[in-house]
Amino acid sequence: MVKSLVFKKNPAPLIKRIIAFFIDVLIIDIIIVMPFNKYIESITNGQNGFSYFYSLVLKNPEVIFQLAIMSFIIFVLSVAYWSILEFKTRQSIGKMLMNIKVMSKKKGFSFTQCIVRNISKPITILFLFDVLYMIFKKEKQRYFEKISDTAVVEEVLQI
Amino acid sequence: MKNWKIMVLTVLIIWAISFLLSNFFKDFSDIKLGNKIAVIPIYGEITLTGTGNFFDLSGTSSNNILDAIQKAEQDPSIKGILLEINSPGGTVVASEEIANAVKKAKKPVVSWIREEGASGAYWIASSSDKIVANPLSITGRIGVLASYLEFSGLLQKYGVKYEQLTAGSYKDLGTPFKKLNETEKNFLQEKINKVHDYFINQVAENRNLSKEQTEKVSNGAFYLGLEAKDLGLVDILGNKDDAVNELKKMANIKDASLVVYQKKLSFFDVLANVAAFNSFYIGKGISYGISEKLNSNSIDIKT
Repeated sequence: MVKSLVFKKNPAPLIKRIIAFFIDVLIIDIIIVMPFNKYIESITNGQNGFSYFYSLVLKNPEVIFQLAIMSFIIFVLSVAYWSILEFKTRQSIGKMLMNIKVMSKKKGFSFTQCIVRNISKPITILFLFDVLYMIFKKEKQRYFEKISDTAVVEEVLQI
Repeated sequence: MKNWKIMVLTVLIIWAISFLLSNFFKDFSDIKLGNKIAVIPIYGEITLTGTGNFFDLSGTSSNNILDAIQKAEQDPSIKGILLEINSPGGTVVASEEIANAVKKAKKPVVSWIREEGASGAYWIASSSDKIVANPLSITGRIGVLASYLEFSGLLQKYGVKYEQLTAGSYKDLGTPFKKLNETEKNFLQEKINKVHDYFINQVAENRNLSKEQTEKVSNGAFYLGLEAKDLGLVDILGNKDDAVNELKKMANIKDASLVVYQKKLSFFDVLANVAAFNSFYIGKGISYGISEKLNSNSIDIKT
């Protein structure tokens, strides 16, 4: 009887996905957020109280404008980090280290799909909803993965 | 192109874009927030480097307080300094360093004693321009304490004899393996008295009290805030608002935002502390506990 070895694509284990995500967040923090740190620190001045921030904004409305632009740049670059890497290599650095991959559930794999699946990651509330959706659904897909027709898989060698 | 090459290239490009764009933003270091009052917390035991480690982040480091005072002095928007004190005191040098920096500060300084502002912490408070204390707070305790471990009796019980060769009759002063003899006790007491005398002089000078008056209240006893006011150790009985109002009066300002000057431990600081804490004990091991530590002749002198 002839047996053949095949790669079977299983949904990636949650723990691997979580570790991969935190590795990516660490990288994003170093390459994208850190350059802006001195400006963020100059605004917060080491304070984190709401009353401090409120009186600061009240007296310096331009702070809000700068913070908004800063947040937008960080958002765009973070989405770009995940989208470019996943589009080009099907993996981010975190996913590569965890040996998991992104695959398209339809024919072909477009850059738009990559953007859609990653757009929620830098927005905490949206990402929380996204993760909760994944936990409670049988397919183990985030909501934005579902609408982008993508999934994260682990390739397992099977006989 | 290999995947890792694409990854490295993408990371570098994104980092370069981020770095480039970050330069277009205005630095808000000199941001206008109107008048500010720097609040510097002095909590827990006062030491030179702080007692903070991963398991115990309490305690005040005189290094951090000196940095905070310097920072507040250099910031033109800071109109006064509020020392928020809740401490039983600490080491002599650390307390003296802070008290000295407070005394030299050009901006008005008010100390607000919450639950406890005793011993070294009171020394610091006395060097400020005004002291506001909670009526039920614990203040005073102007005294000096020296302590060391002594278990020569225990060694004797187990038939262990202490033998140490020294050159210099006081070299093994404070070793836990032998009792202090009369000469050593007198020697140590003399040093403690000198520190106590220095402490009394400083408090008398800072509070404009006569030496006799100060000596009367310097027997190491603690006083409640309301007793301390009658004895001239405290200026005002009150809370934080009273302290802030007093500071505003002294700085001649009507409105001010409070800015807390406190060194926050970053994630890496905590990791470094844990690493230092663990590697110290791994390196030294139990042997440190039973030999070097006991052999270090360490006598803690605290205010």
